[in-house]
Amino acid sequence: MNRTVGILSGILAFLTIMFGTGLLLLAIGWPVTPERLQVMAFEVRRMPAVLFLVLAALIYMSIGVIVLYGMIWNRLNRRTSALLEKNALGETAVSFTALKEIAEQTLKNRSDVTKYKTKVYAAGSSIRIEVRAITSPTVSLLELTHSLQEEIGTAIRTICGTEVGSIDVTVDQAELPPRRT
Amino acid sequence: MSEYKDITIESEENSGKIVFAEDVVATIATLAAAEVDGVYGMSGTAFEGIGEKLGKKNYTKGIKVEVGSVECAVDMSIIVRYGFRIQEVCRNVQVAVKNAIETMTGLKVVQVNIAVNSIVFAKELPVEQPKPENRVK
Repeated sequence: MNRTVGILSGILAFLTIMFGTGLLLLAIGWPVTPERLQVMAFEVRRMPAVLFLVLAALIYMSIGVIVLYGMIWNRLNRRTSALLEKNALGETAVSFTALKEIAEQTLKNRSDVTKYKTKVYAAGSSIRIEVRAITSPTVSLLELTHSLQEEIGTAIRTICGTEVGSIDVTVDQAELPPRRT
Repeated sequence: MSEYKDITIESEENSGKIVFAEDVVATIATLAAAEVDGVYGMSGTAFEGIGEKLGKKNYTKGIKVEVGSVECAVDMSIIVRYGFRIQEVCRNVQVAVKNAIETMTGLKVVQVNIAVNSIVFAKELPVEQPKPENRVK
């Protein structure tokens, strides 16, 4: 089912690009020469409909290109976005999305972190986690960062059974509220 | 809708053929995995999710089965509950699925590949509404 959907999406994206290209050639004319482009520029001033045709063509082509790019990107990243482990019965893959959710749950449980964002990357044979957090104004940043590294590392080690290569923590402190005069 | 593929097993006693659909193996695997502690459910695609939202149960969501005449391999995507060790859950799922398929179909399971795509937390679990008591006996 996934494969069929993927193939259909690819065909649709290709047809969209072809349709857009056809519209563009309809507007400009074939062959595309500098003289024809000048004529088209003149026609656009005389007949705005030609401009809409060109814009529609560019939109269709852009949509098709974006869909195809997304499909290729997902395909390339599929095997590099999970922790893989092989055993006698087969292979288990823990996606980076799941690791990210574990890290974010750790941050969510802390009252001194108001906003956060996490990213998980592959780093050689292990993983690297990037955490950006905004904290309350009165928190000790040094203690917080060490504590976050330890808690996230422990959570992932306990739940996934794997060591994290590095946990990079970037912390911004919330601004103090303005003093009332 | 998934492809409908039959698996045919020749009976050694020449009393006929045993034929069953590929979806049957997928359903057995899904039900076996659901019994394992720590497994919240199967992780499917958006299209499979649409069918479930319309009320149709899909026991082959997030699972792909490859079968031969005597062997089969299973690829599954699961959602794990937070707090359980993922590797342990995956290992238990592999054993449960292998035993269930081999027992019920006689096919030898050569591979059970599992992908953990997401983790569900306690607060996200749906709260079961208490069933209303019968007013009359």
